[in-house]
Amino acid sequence: MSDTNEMSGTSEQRRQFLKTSVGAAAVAIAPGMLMFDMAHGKTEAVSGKVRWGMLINTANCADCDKCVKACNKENGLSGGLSPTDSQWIRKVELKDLRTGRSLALPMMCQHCAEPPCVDVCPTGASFKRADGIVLVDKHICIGCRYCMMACPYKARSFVHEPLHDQKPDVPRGKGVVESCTMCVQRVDAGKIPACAEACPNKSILFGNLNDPNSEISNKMRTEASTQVRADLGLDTGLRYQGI
Amino acid sequence: MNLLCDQSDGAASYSTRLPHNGNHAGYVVLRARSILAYLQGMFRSSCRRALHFDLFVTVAVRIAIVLVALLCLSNIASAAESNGSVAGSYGMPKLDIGKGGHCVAPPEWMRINHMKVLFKQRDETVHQGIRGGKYSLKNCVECHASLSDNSVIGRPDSFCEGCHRYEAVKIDCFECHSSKRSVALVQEVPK
Repeated sequence: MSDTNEMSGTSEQRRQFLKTSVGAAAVAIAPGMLMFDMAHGKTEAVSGKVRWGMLINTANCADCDKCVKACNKENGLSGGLSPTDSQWIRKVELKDLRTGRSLALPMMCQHCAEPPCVDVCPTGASFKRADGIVLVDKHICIGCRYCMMACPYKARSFVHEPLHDQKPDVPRGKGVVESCTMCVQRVDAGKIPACAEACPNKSILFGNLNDPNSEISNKMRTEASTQVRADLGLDTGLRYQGI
Repeated sequence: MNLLCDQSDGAASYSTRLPHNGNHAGYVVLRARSILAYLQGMFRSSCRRALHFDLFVTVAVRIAIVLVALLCLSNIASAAESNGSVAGSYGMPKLDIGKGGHCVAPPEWMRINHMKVLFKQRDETVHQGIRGGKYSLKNCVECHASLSDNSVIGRPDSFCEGCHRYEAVKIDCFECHSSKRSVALVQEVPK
């Protein structure tokens, strides 16, 4: 009897020791792994569980162009308005001629679920990432500009001139098509796009459309919103309120 | 003195005098003798002097030249060791490797395979959003941009351009990608 007691006492001690050491190891390693992730960025591929989107409330859209300026700054665009300058986002003013009601809204790549630019691309440079962001792989793009013709939103630009001093995270160059990337470099780093961050009235809400509990999903469920050119059936990732 | 005049007149005086005396062979012999005598005199006097002073100077100069050559050689060797660049017998380029330090893979391997790993990681990042892999172009630039002009291209000894010029392979990367180190970005990452 006493033997078994001793045995059980020893195994209890061992168990306790193992528990403590495992706990200590976890405490020691966890912050390191966290630090590694933070320092080295995402090591996993993006998945279709997420679909990034934006909800733009035009009622709050003030008479400013801070979203445009923030986009230009983040992505290293010149901000020029000549026909050959790249514009990834622009403020569009609408006026109902009958009633006289006018409103302004930011217009950019709508990150369609069925993007026409991807359909027409002859080389496969235009593509949609698993998380719904529509991008151009500039290593494959041959600059044919077919996607620019196909886009109903005129969201894409062609780079006509050689560029210098590009941002390290936003490579851009002459001879290829480019457009809003939903600030993919920021999104991958866990931040929100520059335009959404810059809006003084929080008119641009960025979030995961596939997560039913996200702020954007809740708002879209409870409030009216619409797609631009919904008749095309592109299932845009950007939705507007008040138009 | 006579000889000196002949020298200064040169070929022109020689040809003008020939038709007058007509004794071509005799003139040449005379001339050759005088040159020989002059050279002998020179030799004797220089020997006399050299025995005392010139010899000393010559030896000293030779020793100095050897010393300077040795110094230069040792300097080149130590410089090559300290920055780890390649200065082999094939005249490979000497590169400014910037901050340097431990590369993500052995330099010999990287010399052969860097483009393959860069292309692979490029496709993963663009299409799948996998970021922060060790073979990123940004990482290359971050360590290897020159400490003087902050760039991996633009000079014959720049980290990327040095080798690519030597191999005559055009680099397209930096028509779109930044060739400059971004200090601000390094500070932003740990946040």
